[in-house]
Amino acid sequence: MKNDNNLLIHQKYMELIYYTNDLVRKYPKSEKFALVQEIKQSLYSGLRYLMYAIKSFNKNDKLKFLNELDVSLNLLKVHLRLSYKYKYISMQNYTTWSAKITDICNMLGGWISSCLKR
Amino acid sequence: MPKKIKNCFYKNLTFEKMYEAHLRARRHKVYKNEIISFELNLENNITNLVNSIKNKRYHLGTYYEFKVYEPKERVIKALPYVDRIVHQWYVEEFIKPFILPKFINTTYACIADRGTHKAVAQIEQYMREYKRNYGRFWILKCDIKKFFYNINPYILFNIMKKYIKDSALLDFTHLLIFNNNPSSVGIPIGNYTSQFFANIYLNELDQYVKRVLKLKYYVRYMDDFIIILSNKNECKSVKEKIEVFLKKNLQLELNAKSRYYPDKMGVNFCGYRSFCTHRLLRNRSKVSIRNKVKKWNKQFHSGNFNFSIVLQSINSWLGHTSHCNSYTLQNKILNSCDFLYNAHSFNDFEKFYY
Repeated sequence: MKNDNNLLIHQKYMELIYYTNDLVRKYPKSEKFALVQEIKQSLYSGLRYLMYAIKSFNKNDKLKFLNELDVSLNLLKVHLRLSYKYKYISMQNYTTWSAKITDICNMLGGWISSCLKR
Repeated sequence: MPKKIKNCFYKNLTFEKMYEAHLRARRHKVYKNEIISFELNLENNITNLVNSIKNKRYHLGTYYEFKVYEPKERVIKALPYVDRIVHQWYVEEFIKPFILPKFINTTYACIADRGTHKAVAQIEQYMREYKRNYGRFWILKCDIKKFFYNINPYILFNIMKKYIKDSALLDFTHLLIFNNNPSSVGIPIGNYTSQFFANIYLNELDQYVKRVLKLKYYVRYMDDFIIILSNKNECKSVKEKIEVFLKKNLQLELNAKSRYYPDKMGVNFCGYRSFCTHRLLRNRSKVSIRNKVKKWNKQFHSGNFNFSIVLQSINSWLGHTSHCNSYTLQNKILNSCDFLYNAHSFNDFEKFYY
């Protein structure tokens, strides 16, 4: 049961990565090594923490990685807010993107609270 | 304009509309803690809010109560920020486009491009018109007793039923009216929806006055309304009819202050006393500005005086009085301010220098 849940969040995270990479391609050139780089960095570091969290068995270690993942997701949210503000993405993109992130965040919240309970 | 509202609830329940509602709801409050903490997680919060309304898991939060003392002592109930966004969204998407256009022309509260000044201008125009066409007249001025506290939510919901056909929207309206409302009578003051609900509630009276009694000269501002009639007996009968209607259909009562008087006395309405020929400031606000000036003078002489704040107050008062014929009053008030350069400032000038 628990294992399935982890796989689901992993799958959702991969979808988020595909979607983000598609979007990021149309940003202006001036942002290529600024905002785009930041977005990709927080995205991939989040993926790394997710992998560590899935693989670690110690509860405290797991919680630490999950918190790191939470932080990188929060950073990603700020980046996407900025992208919408500077009109790099449309309202439609913004809606879809934030729906994807919200889905992951809700799952992550559940995971963290279940770790805290045990 | 469609006659009934339908097929619009889920169409308007989108991230975009809710985001716009958030932008409207946060105005003037961007630096408050509640809003900053909401914005930290903006996309998550809004998406979750939209989803919870979609799945019918949404409930109103707990009220936070405080009191205001300015005109009267009133208990204000404020909801958490999330619910205020929902109210903004509800009013902007459903009430404003569908229900407000059905109101009569001479109701002046809570509608864009209307307001107190236009209400006063309208009543003055009516008085002049009546005087020119028919000569002397009588004024019937009524006020509803404890209006917000006496609105019956069940009757309100029945009125809303007449307008709304969309079942999802009707369920949501039911939730907004009845959820978290412990008393069986009254709606909470402080919600953004409450004023619109109150306006919709008294719209029934407007329609009665215009369609059944067929009175032409009728102006309403929220619970305060004025009718111009030809003589005293007519005033009496109209007042009785309105009282019966209010009691029977809306379960409201008129205030003890509602009465009728001849045209000479003028109308005390929306901050001004209007006559056929001119307009003066209300006595109550004259007293209050004098008291304020006294307070400011005291502060000025004792030393703890914040000029920038006082200047804002004075300018706002000047703006208010500039809509009526009160040049002398303005001069008197400004001359009594010790902290301004005025007519008394240079009285001792010669003695001082020579």
